[in-house]
Amino acid sequence: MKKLCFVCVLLLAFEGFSQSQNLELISDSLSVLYKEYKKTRKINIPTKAYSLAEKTKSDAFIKKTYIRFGIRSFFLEDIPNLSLSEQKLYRFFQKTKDSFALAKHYHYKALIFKIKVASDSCFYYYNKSLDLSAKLKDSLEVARRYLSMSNIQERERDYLGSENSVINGLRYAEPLNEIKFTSYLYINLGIALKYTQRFKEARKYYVKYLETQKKSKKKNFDVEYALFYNLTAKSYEAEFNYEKAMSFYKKALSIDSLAIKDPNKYRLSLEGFSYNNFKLGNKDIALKGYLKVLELRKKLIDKSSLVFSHSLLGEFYASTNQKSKAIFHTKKALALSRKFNNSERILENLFLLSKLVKGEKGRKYLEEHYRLNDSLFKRERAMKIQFSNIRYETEKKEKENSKLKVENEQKQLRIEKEQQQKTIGWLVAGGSFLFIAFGASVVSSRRKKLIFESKLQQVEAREKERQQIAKSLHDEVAGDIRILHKKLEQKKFLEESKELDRVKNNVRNLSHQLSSISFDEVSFKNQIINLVSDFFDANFTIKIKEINAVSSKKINSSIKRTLFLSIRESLQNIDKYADARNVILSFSCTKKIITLTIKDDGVGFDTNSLKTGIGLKNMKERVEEINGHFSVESAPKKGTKITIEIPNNGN
Amino acid sequence: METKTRILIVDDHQLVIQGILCSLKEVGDFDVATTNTCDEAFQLIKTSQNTNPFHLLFTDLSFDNTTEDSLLDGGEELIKAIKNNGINVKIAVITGHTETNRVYNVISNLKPNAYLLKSKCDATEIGFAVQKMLVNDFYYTHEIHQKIMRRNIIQIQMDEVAIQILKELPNHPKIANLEGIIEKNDGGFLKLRSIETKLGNLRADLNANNNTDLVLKAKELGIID
Repeated sequence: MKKLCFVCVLLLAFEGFSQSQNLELISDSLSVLYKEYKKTRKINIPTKAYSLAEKTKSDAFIKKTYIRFGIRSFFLEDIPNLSLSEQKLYRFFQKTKDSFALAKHYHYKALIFKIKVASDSCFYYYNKSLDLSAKLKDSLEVARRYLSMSNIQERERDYLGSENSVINGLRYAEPLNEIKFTSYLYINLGIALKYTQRFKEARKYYVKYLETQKKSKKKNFDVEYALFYNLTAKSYEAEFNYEKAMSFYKKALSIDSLAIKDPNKYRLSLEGFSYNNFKLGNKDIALKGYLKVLELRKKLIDKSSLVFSHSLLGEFYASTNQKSKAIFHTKKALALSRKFNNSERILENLFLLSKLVKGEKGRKYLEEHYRLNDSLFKRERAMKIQFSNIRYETEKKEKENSKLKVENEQKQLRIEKEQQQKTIGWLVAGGSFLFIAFGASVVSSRRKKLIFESKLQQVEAREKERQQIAKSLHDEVAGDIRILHKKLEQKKFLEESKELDRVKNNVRNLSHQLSSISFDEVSFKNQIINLVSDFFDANFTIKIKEINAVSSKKINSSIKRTLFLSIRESLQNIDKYADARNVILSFSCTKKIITLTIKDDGVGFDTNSLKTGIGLKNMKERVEEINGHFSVESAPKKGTKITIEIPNNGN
Repeated sequence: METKTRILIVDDHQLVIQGILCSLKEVGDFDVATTNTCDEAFQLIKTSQNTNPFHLLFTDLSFDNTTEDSLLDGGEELIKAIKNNGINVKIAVITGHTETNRVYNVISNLKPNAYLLKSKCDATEIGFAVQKMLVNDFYYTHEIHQKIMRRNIIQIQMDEVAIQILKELPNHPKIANLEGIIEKNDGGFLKLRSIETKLGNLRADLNANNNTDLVLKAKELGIID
């Protein structure tokens, strides 16, 4: 038995363990897959990863996997997989109603358009994602979306819009004390300021970038410094302060082994250094630099940066009058810039070509340049308008929403108020109804009481009358009979005299019965005991139960009188007819009702067949007169039970 | 000089008066006065109070000859008047009334020294009553005695504590053992002293000589099974 238990426990433990282990295992293999995907860019890997993650049934884990692989797909510019993860996220949202997943879905949709260089759609989805994140109060996501949006706006040369986005982003990011995105936002702000000719301010934000980065726990800030120097140099360059720009590029290039740490920054720095040398007339140094950068860039997979090298070389050769070389590089730059949709460079190169190429061709280049410039200008404006429209729409929607909200609240308030008034109305109505009902019941109960009291008085009056009759029977009738009796006696009518004596005795008995008791002197309890003892015998026992309940002085004497007479009548009946050995008289008294039951074990009778005798009828009448209830239960050989209920106060 | 015992007889029936007179003559030598109405009787007693007071009074309860002018309209009123005036006269009720209610009322409220019934009355009984009355004792005729006892029985029956005592009494050799057994109505136990008082009252009520007799009588009378 013990062994079995132990095995069971072990099994259970293993089960639990294996479950958690399972999750860990999948997580491990997902990491492996992620690394492989990052390295090899195999298209089928994310699909594999997703089906593996979905096996865990852990929503948080599944979501994390979608997001992780999705962003990698973006970096790898793997559009099919990016859109797969975007769709997965949307389905995930439909299933779980997790708004965060929906926000990510919009984000990745935006990323798809970013790869496709469709700025307006990209911006549109960024904006949607941003709204949702703002609603979720996810400040970091909001800040990140603003950063991305400012990037898009910058690319489309909507610098004011970009500045605006950055400032909004900073509003969310700064309270978070987050480093990476906050510092990026500072850079974007600086760049936007640079483009709008506010160089000093721009440099201030570059410094801020560096300061923010320095808050991180990193030990070496070479890469950050490289970026900072580059940006600062660029701002001086834009101010035509080539000397200063060059000194900053020099600082960047003097960073230890920058070419290995960050080749891109190294190329940019070298290019910038060469450009400024070119501007300052140090053409040899410039050419050397340019060519080195070109060499380095040619090794890269990403050919887009070649545009800059060819453009600069075109410019350089143009200035040294090496026309064929100049045209070669400029044409190459133009082709590349067309390929990569870099309109600024297209314009630049077209303009340069128009100068280099003489005659009809040159004129055509110039024409294209102007046309493109025009259309670009228009496009820029359209884009700006679109961006602001998208933002404006959302803001309008928000405003409308808040307006609706306010209206709704007001409506709710009004409804509540109406409801309250209604409730108050009902309460008042109910209250007044209750009041009226209460009043009516009070009036009716008082009336009932009055009626009851008058009935009791009636009974009392009849009792008095009875006594009066008894008295006059006794005094007058009996007196007269006595005189008559004496006269007859004197005249020797013995027979008649004897008869008359009998009559006289009858009258006397009657009168005694009528008057019998005066209730003021003897307590009800004693009255009943006396009454009972008149009937009591060893063979006819009468038990009295709970008589104290009724002996209280609070109970009206007419009620007591009725009870007494009922008991006397019942005992007489039982004594005469029932042949009973035991009688039980039980009293009980509640606040409202007095109950008396008289139970015997006599022969009983059929309550249906027998005509109720005058005694029972009198009892019933007497009880009902004071609003009481009288009932007889009996059956042959089953004894008899009489129940009398009399209201205590007339109700 | 030894004065004769003075007796007053009040009854509305002359025949009854004559009967009582006859009987009294058989019993002894008394100074007897008679009257037919309560008012007259009270006057007589009152006036002779200081000079030559009555010792005994025989009175009926109901008087057929009362009129509206009567001040005292029956035996009860007469007795009440005498007691209220603090007159020291031994009273015997001689009447036909046997309803317990009336008997009880008269005996418990007016406490006459004797209660006799006209129907069962003879010289012996009257003599017995006079003797008892003269030594300030009480004499109730047998039927009345029975009535009072029956009434006591009923009262005992209603008293649950009394019933308990009567039921438990044969089970214990000593009365002291009853302490802690007899419960009061409120659930507490009755003290020995209270039990003894109660037993005394019961013996008196049922006319029992001792506790054994009491239990036997209670059984006989159907108070306990």
